[in-house]
Amino acid sequence: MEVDKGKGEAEETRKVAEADRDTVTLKSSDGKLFEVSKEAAARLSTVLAGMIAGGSIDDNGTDLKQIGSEALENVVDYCNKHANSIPSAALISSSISFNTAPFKEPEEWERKFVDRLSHDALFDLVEAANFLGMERLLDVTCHKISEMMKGKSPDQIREVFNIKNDYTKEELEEIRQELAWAFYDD
Amino acid sequence: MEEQHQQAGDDDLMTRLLPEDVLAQILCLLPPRDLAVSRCVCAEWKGAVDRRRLLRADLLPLSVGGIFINICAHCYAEFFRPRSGNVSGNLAHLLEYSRWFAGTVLGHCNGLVLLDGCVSNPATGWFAPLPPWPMPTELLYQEAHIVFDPAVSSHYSVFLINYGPLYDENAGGELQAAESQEWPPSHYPFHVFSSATERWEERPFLRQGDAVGTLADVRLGTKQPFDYHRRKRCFAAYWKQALYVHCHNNFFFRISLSRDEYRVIKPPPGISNSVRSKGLVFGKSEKGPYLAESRYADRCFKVWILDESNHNQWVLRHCNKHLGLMLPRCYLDSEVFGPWILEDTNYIEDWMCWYEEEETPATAPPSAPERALKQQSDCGCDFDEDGGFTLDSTNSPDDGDMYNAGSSFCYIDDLLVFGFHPFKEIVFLGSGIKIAVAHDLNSSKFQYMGSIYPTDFSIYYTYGNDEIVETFVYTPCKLEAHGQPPTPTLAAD
Repeated sequence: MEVDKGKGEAEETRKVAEADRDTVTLKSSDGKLFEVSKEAAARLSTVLAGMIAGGSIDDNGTDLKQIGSEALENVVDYCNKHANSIPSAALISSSISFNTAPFKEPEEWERKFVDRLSHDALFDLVEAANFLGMERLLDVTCHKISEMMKGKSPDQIREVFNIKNDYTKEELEEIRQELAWAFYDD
Repeated sequence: MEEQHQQAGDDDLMTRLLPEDVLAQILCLLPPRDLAVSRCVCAEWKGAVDRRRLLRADLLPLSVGGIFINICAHCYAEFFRPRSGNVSGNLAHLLEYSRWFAGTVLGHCNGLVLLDGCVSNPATGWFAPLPPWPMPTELLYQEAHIVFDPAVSSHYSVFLINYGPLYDENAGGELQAAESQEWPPSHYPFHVFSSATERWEERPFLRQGDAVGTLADVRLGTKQPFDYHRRKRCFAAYWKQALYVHCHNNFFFRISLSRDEYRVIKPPPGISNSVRSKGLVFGKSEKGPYLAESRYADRCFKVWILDESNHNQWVLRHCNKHLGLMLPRCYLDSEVFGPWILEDTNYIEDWMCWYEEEETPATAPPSAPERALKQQSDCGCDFDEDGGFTLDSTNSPDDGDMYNAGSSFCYIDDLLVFGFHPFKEIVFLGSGIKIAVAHDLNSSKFQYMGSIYPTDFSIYYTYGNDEIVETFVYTPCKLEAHGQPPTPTLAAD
C-alpha cells in the first residue's frame, strides 16, 4: 500500500516537474545530453545541488567532462528509479539520514541495479557517484564491489579488478607473514 | 577531486586505481580476513588499509587469554589465566540465562563461550540468551558446539548433534530394529542455531564418503547407565571454515560450513573406536586439528595432526614414552606464584552468597591474586610475565634425572592434557587439580604456569567429585558478535 501511494506521489511530483520544465540537462564527456529531474538531482547529488543552488546550471547541457555517457546514463537511470521506488515524502528525511546513519544494506532494486552492470560500468559508476557526491549510490556501488572481493585470493582480486602486482616475491611473503593467520590455503 | 579523477582515469598500466577515499569505503566493508588479503593485492591497497587502520588485528582472537576448567560438582567453570591478562572468565552473572548445567562452559570458539542456554563474550561483556534448545529424546546423547569466526563474519552458530541411541539395557523392539541402521546416516539432521536467523533449524547434512558401520557397531562399550555429571565431553575444533567434532566413539566429523556436508574421519591406529577414552583431547593448534592421548597407566603421551591433503590420515607428531617432569617441590604447594592464576570463581561466588544470607555487610573476599601474592614463594625461577611461553625454565627429565633428583625436587607423572595452544605447537597440561604446565612439542620443554587448586576445594572434595571434566583454551575476541544484548539493566548486572 505504501509503495503504491509513494508511486502515486512520485508521479504527481513528476507531472508537476514536467509542467514547470523542472529538469536539468547534463552533458557527458562525449557530448551526449541527459535530462534528469531537478528535484531528484538536487536530492541525491550534493554537487548537482550546489550547482543548482549556485545557478551554474546550463540550460543547453551542464558539462560533466569527467563522466562518460554510459556512466551518466546509469546515474540518471538511478535517479529516476530512486524517485519511483520510495515515497517522495520519506525521501527528504532519509536523504539526510544517509549522511549520518551507518551504512544501510542496499534494497532489492538497488542490488538488481548494480548486479546487471559490467565491471567497467560499475567502476565508472563508482567514480561518477564519487564525483557527483551521490552518497547513497556510492554506498550501493561500494557494497557491490566489496561483495565481489569477499573470499577471494590476492590473485583472483587482481584478475577481477585488473590490478598489476607491484610487489616482489619477497615483499609479498613479508606482508603475508605479518598476518599469517589470514592465509591458510597454501 | 579533479586530480583524483585524473589519477583514476589513468589506465596506462592497466591498473585501475580508485580514489583512496572510495577504495577505503569499499575496504571498510570487508571482514578482517579479506582485508588481510587486500593488503597483498598491491602497494596502493596496502597503504589504504594501513593508513586508515581498517584492519584491527589486535581485536581478533589471536592470543590465549586463559583456560576454562569445569570441575565436577562445581557450580561454575573455573578460569585460569595469565596474571597480566585483563579478561575475566567469571560468568556467574549469566546463571539466570542458563539451564541445568548453568555455570559450566559447554564450548568455546574464537572468543565466544557457549553456556547451557546462552552465548557470551567475556572480553566485551556481551551475551545473548539462546532460544529454547531442541531437546534430544531420552536415548540420544547430545553435544553442542559453537562456531564463530570474526575474521570472516560477525555471525555465530551453534550446532547440536544427537548421537545414538548409545546404550539401553532394556532396548525395546523399536531400538533393536535401529541396530542395523548405518552410522552415521547419509543425511544427518543437525540442529543449527544461526545468529543471522535467530532461531534453531533442523538441517540435514549430506555424508561424503562411506559410513562407519551400523548403530550396533558404534555403541559405547559401557554397561554403566549414562551419567551426565561424570562424562567427559567431546571436543570440537574450528579450522578453515569447517567444524571438526570428536564423536562419542572416537570417530570424527568434519562438517563443512559452506556446504551442508560432512565426512567421517577414523581415529588414529591404536585408539579404540568404541570406548570413549578419558585421556583423549582434541583441538586446534598451529597446523590444524590435533589429537593428544595421555595414558596414565604407562605414561605414554602421543600427539597426532590430521593431514587433510592425504585422505584425512592422522600423522603422529609427537610421542613421549614417559611423559612427566621434574619440578621443585615447592611448586606442589597450592597458590605458588606462577605467571598464571586461577580466578577462583566458585570460592568468590560462594563467599558472596554466604555473606548475603548472613546479612553481614558484604565485603569482597581477598582476590585470588592478592592471596597468591601473600604466599608467594621464592622458587627462584624466571617467569614470562606477558603470558607468553618461553619454556626454558624446566627441562623434560631424562631417565637419569628421574631417579637421581634431590629431595627438593619431585617427579610428576599424572599429567593430563587440558588443550592446545591454538597458534603454537604447545600443549597445556595439568597435574590433577594441582598445577598446570605448558609443554612445547618442538623443544620438549616445560614451563610452570601456576596453581590451579581452588580455594576451599576440600569442601567439594568430600563429595568425591574431584575430577576435572572439561577444559577449554580461551582466545579473547574484542570484536562484537552479531546480535543485540538484553536490556541494559541486566547487562549491567
